[in-house]
Amino acid sequence: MQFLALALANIGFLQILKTGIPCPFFYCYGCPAAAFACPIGVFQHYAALQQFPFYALGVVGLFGLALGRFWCGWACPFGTVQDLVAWIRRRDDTFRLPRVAWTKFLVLGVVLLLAWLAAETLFCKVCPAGSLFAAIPHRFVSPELDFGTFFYVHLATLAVALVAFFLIGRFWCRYLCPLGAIFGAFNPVSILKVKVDFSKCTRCEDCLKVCPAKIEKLEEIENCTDCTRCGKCIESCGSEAVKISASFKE
Amino acid sequence: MKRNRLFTIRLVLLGLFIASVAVFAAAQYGLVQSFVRFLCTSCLGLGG
Repeated sequence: MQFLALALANIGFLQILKTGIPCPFFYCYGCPAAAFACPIGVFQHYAALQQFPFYALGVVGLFGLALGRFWCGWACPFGTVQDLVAWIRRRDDTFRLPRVAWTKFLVLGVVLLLAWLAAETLFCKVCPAGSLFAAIPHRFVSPELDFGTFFYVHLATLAVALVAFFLIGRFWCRYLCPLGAIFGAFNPVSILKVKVDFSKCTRCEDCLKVCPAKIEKLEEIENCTDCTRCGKCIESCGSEAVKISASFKE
Repeated sequence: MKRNRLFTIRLVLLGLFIASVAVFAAAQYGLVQSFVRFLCTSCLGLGG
């Protein structure tokens, strides 16, 4: 499904296929074949213009209200990159860091504040997703363009990010992703949820041991801002106490 | 009680987001599309 999302994000190889719809994942609209808009890029543009992104926020809000951070676990191309790096590593994280939920909210706040103060999309200049999905592809499809300082800054941030992904699984999603912060804020109210039936739960905590988001308490699974609804906890539960639920009413 | 509150919050948010899209899509869609259509070369460190 993650590769399907990546393919869908890249159907904009013709100008007519480039839409004004924000995508529900972290993907650079500077990519030569991008079909959808990066929500963080859009929000920065609006902050720089000192306007409110009613339409884009409405679209992102609908995505978040429906599925919460499901998008991070199942659709985000940058999440896929992190999963691929983890697959290459083939062992548990080199560094086990504690779960810290607030850092990505801080990143989101700083990114928008800087865009508003500088009247420019400053985060885009260092974004590692932009490096991978836009700056490097343009090296091949637009050889006529010169490469300035920020191209090399992009390469540096991507290199640092890849090393971090190699050492710590889903590092970007867990600590830094500003879009993950937005969708994470929707986790407590999203229609799609992962729920634990405590009448069946044996408290073996097998679900927590396999959790890529490193959730530490069973009670936090349902509403915490880090759960990407990846479903690994559901697969690992021998007593079928963890299940996915989609209901507007409960 | 908790279930009713969650249902109400979802309903309010759904209404807000649908209204935001319905009211502002015509005015703001084009600007968002321009971000996708026109490459920000300085953002990627291209063009010198």
